[in-house]
Amino acid sequence: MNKSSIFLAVIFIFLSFFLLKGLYNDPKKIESPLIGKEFPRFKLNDLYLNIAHSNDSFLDKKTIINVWASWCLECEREHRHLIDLSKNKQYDLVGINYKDEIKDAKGWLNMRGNPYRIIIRDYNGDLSLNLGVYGVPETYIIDKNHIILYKHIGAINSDIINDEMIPILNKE
Amino acid sequence: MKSLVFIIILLNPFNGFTSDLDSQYKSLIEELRCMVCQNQNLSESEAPLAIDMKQKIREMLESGKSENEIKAFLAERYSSYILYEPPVNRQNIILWFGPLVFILVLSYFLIRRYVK
Repeated sequence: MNKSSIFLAVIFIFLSFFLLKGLYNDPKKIESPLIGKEFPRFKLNDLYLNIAHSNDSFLDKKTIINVWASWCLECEREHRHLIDLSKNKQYDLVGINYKDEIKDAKGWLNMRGNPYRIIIRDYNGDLSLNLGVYGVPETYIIDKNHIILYKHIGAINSDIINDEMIPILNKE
Repeated sequence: MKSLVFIIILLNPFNGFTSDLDSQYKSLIEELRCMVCQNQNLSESEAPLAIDMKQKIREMLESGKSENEIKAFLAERYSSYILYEPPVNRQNIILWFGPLVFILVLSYFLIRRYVK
């Protein structure tokens, strides 16, 4: 074996590992470029009440923001976790109802319980487009200055809550 | 009469202004990825989000935004993954220049062997 074939073998092995790693990457998981930025400005109606919400509707504490819809099957799977999260009053839980009909959304929550303090109705998806939403459900955490700290695409589960969300929520 | 001519010019689908925007629009939605069905571009996709994005792109073009401004707007929200031609950065530099380096290294060895 001469030097150059050893060299090529090394390149081959390196490339194989590089590509092997790629096999286990989930292309649906894309880190949001919005992390560290301010929550986009919006002015939208409440799902239940005849009032408008804006960025001033957030409370002066860390807030979990969950984007959901009644037509979204995965939302059903994560719902009991949101109910659990809503019991802790150290942080706030706000829902964004994404491209949904009012009566469908209300009916869905009537059956399953409403974990959200307020629900922002994003019927035409403008706010969600500004947030970079593309796979409902999505869950965000913002701090009291409305800076986005975290984003999860897809249903949340106890692993994600305990390993990823709780540390961010509890951090000073 | 003047205003009538003006209206006809405005309504004419072949007038320069609209067709220019249209061609910009068409080329733009072919260069952007549908985030829902990731192997399609926006122009091929009928996913609800893709329809929203196309609507948004059309509005932005009509309000005078340039192609680069629109691409930057979307990449800021959906990451550069949405661009079919992502900008060179630290993460993808191997993908951009790796093949070139590979060919250069390989041809170096080949030429050396040939010259011998």
